Amino acid sequence: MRAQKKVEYTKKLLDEIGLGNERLEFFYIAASEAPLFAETVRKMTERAKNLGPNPYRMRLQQEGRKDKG
Amino acid sequence: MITAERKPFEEIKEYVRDYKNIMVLGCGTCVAVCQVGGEKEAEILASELRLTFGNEGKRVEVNEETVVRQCDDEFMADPAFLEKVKEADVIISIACGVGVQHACNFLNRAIEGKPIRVVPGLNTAFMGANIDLGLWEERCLGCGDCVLERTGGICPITRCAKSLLNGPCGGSSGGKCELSTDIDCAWHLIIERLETLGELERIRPVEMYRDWRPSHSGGPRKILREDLRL
Repeated sequence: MRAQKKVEYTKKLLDEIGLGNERLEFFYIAASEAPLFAETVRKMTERAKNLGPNPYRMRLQQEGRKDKG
Repeated sequence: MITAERKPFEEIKEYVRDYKNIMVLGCGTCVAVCQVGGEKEAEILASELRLTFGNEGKRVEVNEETVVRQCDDEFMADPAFLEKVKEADVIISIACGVGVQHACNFLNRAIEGKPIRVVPGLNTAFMGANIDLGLWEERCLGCGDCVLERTGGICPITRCAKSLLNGPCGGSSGGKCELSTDIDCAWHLIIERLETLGELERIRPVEMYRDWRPSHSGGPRKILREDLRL
């Protein structure tokens, strides 16, 4: 599936720049699998909380700067 | 087209680590078509550099520009573009090796008083064709003396690992090269094609030797077209 390959490539970019690939994930969830969707979102939200905000954005905010990223 | 692959990000990063104002310069022709050095890829690389240096707490300005062709003065001479080049401490050219060299030469001629540093962001690969989605294969070595008329449109110079003029060799097996089963035997393909065309007689006479002087063996080559000069 092409979208999955694009996500894999983007995960590699995230590793390269030091942000870590775990900030991005790809899941297969059918439209009929509402409980699985909810559980996946919950897990991903938990993961995002544990990882914390993008340190680069935090640094920019602390310095009062904006960047096009 | 000329194909290329991006250098490892870590390598590019080390090239420009000591500079504050970085320009990523894309090239909108061959390397844009093979999706490694065009406008989109320039934006991605610039973003990567901003983010990675930002994460390290290093203040850098990274901008991206893309010209139609870095191997042609005509597309590099835009005054607004040259003004932006003047601001940069280093330029990462994501063109092929031709584009990198030409950009370096042209920009150092066009901008006085400031040496322009140009580093490559790609490894240039080969002249090839887009065979399938995401797949390019080498098809021409630029040998300077094309034999495709004799060989049914399949190049033995490029596609035979030994560049044999008379083949196949003893290493051909089941239509594959002895180097790898991933590589088609060029001479197997040539014979099949000529059989289909009913022109197998074309390769009956043994090709005795070849003059390699038009190839790179004669040193860097030039083409001079007096009819195109002013």
